[in-house]
Amino acid sequence: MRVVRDRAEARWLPSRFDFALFRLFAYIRLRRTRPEPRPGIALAVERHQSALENFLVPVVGLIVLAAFIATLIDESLPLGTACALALPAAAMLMNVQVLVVGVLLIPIVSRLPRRQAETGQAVNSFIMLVVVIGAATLLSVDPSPLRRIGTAFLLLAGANAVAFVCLLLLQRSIAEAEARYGVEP
Amino acid sequence: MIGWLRRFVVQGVFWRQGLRFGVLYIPLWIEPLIIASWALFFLLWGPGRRGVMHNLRLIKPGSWAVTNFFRTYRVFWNFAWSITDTARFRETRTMPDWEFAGLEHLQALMEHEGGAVILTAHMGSYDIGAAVFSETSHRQIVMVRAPETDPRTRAFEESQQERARDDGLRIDFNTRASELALELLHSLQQGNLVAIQGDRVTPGITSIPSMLFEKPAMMPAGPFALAMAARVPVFPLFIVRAGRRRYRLVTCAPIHVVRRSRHRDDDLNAAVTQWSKELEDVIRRGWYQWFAFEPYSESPA
Repeated sequence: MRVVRDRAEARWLPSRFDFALFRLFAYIRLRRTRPEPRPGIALAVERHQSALENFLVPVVGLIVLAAFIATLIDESLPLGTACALALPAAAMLMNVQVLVVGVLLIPIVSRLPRRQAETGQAVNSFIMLVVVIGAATLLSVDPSPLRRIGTAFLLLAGANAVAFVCLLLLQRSIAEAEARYGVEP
Repeated sequence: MIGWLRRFVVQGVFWRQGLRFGVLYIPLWIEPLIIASWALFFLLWGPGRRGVMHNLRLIKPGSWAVTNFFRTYRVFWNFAWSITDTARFRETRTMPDWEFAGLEHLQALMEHEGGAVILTAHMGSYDIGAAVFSETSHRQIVMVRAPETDPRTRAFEESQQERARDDGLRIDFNTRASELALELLHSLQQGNLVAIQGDRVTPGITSIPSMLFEKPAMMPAGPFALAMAARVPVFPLFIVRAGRRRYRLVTCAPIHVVRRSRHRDDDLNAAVTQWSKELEDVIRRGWYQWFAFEPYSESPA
């Protein structure tokens, strides 16, 4: 169990974030932040600890999928109604996808020599990302006004890719910064 | 009900297996969406929803039913997060962030020589709380839980507990009240910590009448009688969910259950009243995560 005790600024440790854009932002904050000693806190060093990231990302994914579904049905319905119907439909689609992949695909993939939890989540995460990026790509070339959502998402995904490259270049300095908190790579 | 259908009732094993499936297969970055959907789905569970709404009416007198309906969703949402965090901890030992409130009392509990009763409530993730505690303390914690009503669910839960076995933590189910009481007494006398949930009375458990939010409520007598018999203090300790994967461990001043008068019940009553006040204070601030799905008082709001 990797935990940093009594140091509030450790919330900005890049290892507590998942997506490259957030990890890069966290690293910048960590460099700029002053020590904040706070007795009585224990911060876990796990890559999904950020509440902001973990609420923002699914909401963005949901909006993209909902916008895509709305463009499929907006010919027969007013755009507002299509969007209102598409939101719960997108949420349901995400639930169904997790279930279908979990039941049908993962039993085959999990024969690979990795831990069950990691395999299941990684496969589902990959497929979900492919679905969302595919939806955003198709959405961005649609004549509907919702295409801007697709374009914005693709720009965001591009920015995340750039952030990933930056993180690769900063690998050593990030490891040094985290080592000051007792976090080994 | 037909045997195989029983697994689909709300206490059935199907949902526990589903939770484990979710923890293993759902990518963490879409977890909030999945939890939001399932918390909404479980609002269809009438008795649970009505139980929470009834309690909310008592906690917040004069509140509107429609507001309490949305508050009930918040309770279900928090419950879903708490059981997910617990299941994830069991499967992958993923620990959330912790804040400790009432550090001086926690320190007193850590440094206390001999056994102690930890009295807690159905809030946050008490399983993770107990695990955190057992990792920071050198003493063994014996955690007492109400058994699952469904035999398959009970078997499933016990197998999960066995898989996530922790040498510092032992879980006992209060199925055999008299035998368990002797075991717990022995455990306390050996200097161990015994964690009991003190906000709900299950059938067959001795209770003491008390007041909660100015309404009559029954509190379990066991923890206090045990503390009196073993001559150990009772530490009220609450695990409060403070946000996504963030918990606050609130430790309150110890309650000393001492035999002062000739009437044992009077001494127990004094301790129960003190506990009820602590419980009321914590629930008032954290009503959205008091996982009491049955009305705590039959009194009308």
